[in-house]
Amino acid sequence: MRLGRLLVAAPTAACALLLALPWLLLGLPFLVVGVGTRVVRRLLAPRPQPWPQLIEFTPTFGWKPRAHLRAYHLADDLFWTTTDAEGWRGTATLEESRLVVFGDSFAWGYGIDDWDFFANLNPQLPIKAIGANGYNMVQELLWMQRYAPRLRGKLVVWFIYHGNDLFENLMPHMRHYRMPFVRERNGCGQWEIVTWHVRPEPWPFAAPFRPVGQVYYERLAELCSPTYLAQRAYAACAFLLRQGRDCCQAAGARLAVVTIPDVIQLHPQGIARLKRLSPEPEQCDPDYPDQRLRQICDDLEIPFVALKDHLTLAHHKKHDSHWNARGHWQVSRILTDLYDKLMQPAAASRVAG
Amino acid sequence: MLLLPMPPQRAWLRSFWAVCSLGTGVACGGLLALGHAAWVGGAVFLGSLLLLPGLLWPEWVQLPYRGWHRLAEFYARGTRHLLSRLCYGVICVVGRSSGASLWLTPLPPQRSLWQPRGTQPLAAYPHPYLQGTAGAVAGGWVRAYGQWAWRTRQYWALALLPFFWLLWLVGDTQERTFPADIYTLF
Repeated sequence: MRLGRLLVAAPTAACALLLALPWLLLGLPFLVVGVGTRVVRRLLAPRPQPWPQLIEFTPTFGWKPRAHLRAYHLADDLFWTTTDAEGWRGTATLEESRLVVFGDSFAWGYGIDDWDFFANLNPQLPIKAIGANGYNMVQELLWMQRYAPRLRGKLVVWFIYHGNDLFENLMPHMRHYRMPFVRERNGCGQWEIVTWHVRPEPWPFAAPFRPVGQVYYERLAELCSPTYLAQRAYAACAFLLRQGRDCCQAAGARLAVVTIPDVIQLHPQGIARLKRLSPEPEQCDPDYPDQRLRQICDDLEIPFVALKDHLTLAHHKKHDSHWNARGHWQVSRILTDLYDKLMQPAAASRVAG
Repeated sequence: MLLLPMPPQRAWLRSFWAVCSLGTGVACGGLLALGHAAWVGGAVFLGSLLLLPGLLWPEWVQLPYRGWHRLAEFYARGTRHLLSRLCYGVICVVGRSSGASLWLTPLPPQRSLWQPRGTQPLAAYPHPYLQGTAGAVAGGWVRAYGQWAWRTRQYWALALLPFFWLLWLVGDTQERTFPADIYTLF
């Protein structure tokens, strides 16, 4: 019976294939293009370095990019990066630079090639970017303090990204990576930086994995509203900005703050989603982080620029919240204007004097 | 295999444009060779010229890439529908008519149709999740399917193999051009 079934099924299948043949032959161009594209891509496309080969553990700071890198990385697409002897991007050295940016993946230029990186776009204004993926403001402040002796006469720009910088200042870990953070001392309004827990061993108490965007947007929604988290996060940020200002003043540098919105704050559908996620939907305001940070900077006499006033969706990648090439050009122009406004009058008065 | 991944990275756009340009050049050259052999070189040169803009500015290739992908998706959907109908509506129906293991006469008393079966060995359950484990079948799904059909003496199922292979060709690529979450540091 089994052989009988085979003797019936095999010719039936052959006839069915013959009947379908005209339609199947129509697919030959699609097959040729599909296979050919895959073969050509495999031959021509460069291989990206995996992220663990690009970033290394560093005591106190948690992690930093490796030095002397020349490699393709993978974000939403392959992008070419090079780092200097200290592990930072930007063709200018720290000594050659006149403007130094401290920040996270935005300062590092996540997802953008070297030739489109904001720090490399203006040959008249050498910029050095000190930043790495996942950095919070505590790590950035620690680098500011580490490099303070080399910042004399420079404009220091501190990037603050609304999406995660503000709440991650309060976190001892990012997933299973330990990082320095700030905490209140006994609820008395005094803050301190904590680094003793930073080790290569994974943080054992990371929450079950959820998509990054989901966590960030819930936190961002809280930070856009007058919530308890917002109160603590902005207080911690004020402490860090005061530390940064004092560090720059002692070093003979000038500090300015540039805030970076998340893409979700830039369009009506995103703002509606934030409101839905907020515990205070009626009071959720996408401009609230800039209002609070601007107030803090005014109190500390730190110049403040909100990139939310200068960037749109067109400056961001389609499938990622980071800037595209057009966004980097826009940021480069804004930094140049900021430098001219804050540093050039000082230079002119020195020449006149 | 027919479908290209979406959204495309630059490497996919360049490769797609390279294949289309060279293919167009070769096809034109082949057609023109029927008329005048000297025009073959010109057609290949034209194909090479078309190649350059796509390689240098891959973002320009987005539109033709998406258009091609839509056409391929339409064709793949129709092909999957056709092949599924042929498998289940023609071959299985015809194969079913070749007989079945069914008692048509009354059973003697104290007799049942129940057939006790023992535990099957792990290798009897080829499964994608077993890939790389000790019980997995090496050589891909085609070999696993063939071995299953042979081992269970379901020889007629081998007649469906060409249809399954074609369905695999026109299936969703499932290729992500960028990983969903790559925030790995060290």
